Amino acid sequence: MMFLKRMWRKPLIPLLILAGFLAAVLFMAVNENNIRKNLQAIDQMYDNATIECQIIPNSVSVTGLELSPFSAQEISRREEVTSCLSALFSPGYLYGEKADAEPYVIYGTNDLKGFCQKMSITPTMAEGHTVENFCEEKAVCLLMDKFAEKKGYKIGDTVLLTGGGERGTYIEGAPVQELTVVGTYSNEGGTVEAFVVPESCIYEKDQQRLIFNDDTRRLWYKYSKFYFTIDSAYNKNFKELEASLEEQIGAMGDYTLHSGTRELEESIRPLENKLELQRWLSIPIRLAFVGLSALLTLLLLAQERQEILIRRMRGESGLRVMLETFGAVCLLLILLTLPAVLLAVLLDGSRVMLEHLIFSVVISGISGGVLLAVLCRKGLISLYQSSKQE
Amino acid sequence: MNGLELRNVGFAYPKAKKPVLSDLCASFAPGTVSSIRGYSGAGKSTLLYLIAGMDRPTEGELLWNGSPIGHGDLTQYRRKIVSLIAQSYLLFPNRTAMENVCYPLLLEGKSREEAREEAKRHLNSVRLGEELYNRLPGNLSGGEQQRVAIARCLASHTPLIAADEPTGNLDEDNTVDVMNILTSLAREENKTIIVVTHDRMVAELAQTQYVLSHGNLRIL
Repeated sequence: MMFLKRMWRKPLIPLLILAGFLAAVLFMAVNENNIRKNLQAIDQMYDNATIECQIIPNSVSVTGLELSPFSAQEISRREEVTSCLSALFSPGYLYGEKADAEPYVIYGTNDLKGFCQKMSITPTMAEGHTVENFCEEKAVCLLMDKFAEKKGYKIGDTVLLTGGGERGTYIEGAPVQELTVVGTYSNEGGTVEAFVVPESCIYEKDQQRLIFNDDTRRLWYKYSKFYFTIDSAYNKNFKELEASLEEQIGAMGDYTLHSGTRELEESIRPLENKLELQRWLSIPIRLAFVGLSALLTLLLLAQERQEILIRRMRGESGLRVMLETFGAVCLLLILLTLPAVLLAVLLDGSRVMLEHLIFSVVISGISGGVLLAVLCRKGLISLYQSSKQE
Repeated sequence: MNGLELRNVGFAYPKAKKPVLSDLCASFAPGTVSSIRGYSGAGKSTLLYLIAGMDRPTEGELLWNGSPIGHGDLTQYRRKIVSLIAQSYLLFPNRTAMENVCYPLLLEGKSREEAREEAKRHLNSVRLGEELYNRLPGNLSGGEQQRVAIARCLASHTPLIAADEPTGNLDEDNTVDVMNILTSLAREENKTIIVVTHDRMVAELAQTQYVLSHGNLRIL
């Protein structure tokens, strides 16, 4: 009690220790708050981001390859994938028309609405037909408005399409498809005259397919794409998901996965770097606070030198003086920690703050204990001489 | 004999080539104030450290009332036989004058009330004003602090008092005053008081004067 009474009389160093504890708690609260905000911002960015992926068939080797529309279906069955859009390519000609030019572009899709958004085209559907049910219909097509005008096609007309080769040749004996025009589309800036058909027209097994030989297959492989988006809940773990998707896609055939994560990564990286910096910077600062409290404890005990000398001169054993003083210093440190703990609780502090305070008390106690041991074991003559020099 | 006797006392600091003291012989009787004077570096402070029980002589021995001291634990010697008065007063800096004097009494096991009563008597005997009892040493003058230190020696009830330059920081009036207190203490309480000083005037106020020179202690 006498020790605490004396500290009360000269409270500068105990107050500085208390200030150190409080400052450490405040610093950590501010730092943790900043880290929390950055984490929330990163989470928000992940939540708001849409990762779009493409599966692009490779055109390296085509001979003997089975067309594999199932890749998109397989991928779309995964719970991490929210939608999957096919943009299938096929070259083709109007049946009976002399094939002396480039073939027309025929797009097949499984989702006309998604396809229109992706390709920036605006469809106009005939009565009784909708964008939503287009792909469920058999033997229908949309024509590019300018092409329809040029060729004199109207809604409800029938067009005959047949597959063609890359070199602009009309292939004799190629399957012919009879399709009803159920709409047109405008494509501002689009120059390619084209058709849009349900994907079943492209390669459905039981139908006459536009893709039927190596030439058409080669072009199919060259230009077809599958687009799909990832459920934002999986955005954070996209790296792992990407590896798993690549494994699956690789097993399905000759395809490559392209993911649009670069922008997301680029926008998140500065925040993540800042977060890392905050975490790393907090360590030396916290250590500095621990060092400060240890230093102040040493200063406090250095002031006790005269007290220790007098007590030992009066015949008290060094061990007794050391244990009593050590106990009193530990009690003081614990008492000084209590307001800091209270502040940490009020600031909704984490376990790290409490651990820091405990660590500070332990380190201060240990360093104080070492100094005490030195003072209490030191020869009385040198202790007395150093007290005379003060 | 009664009192303190030095018998062929010598002392060398660890790692020192030459001993500071060698073959010192002297006796200090109860009821007297003795002074030890010497030039700087003569070893008078070292001799006082040995008398105060801070260390043991490396040669010879010290005897109190004919019994060697320091064979066992020096803490018992420091607790029961000797008290120290220092030039820097050596008071607890954060305890009041009263608490400083109460300290040895509480250590003896006296109750707080008993200790305060006795401490008042001792503070009164060294003529310290009652209004100063609750002041910290930092708020007392040098002379007042030294009086508190003497009162604490009295409260220690030790028969031997070793004083290391007790008037070194005091003006002439306070010096004479402190020496008078020590002299009357020796006479009235039958204490053995040994004063180490470099001040000739202070040394001459003692009944027995020793001079320490070249490692030899001779009586004047």
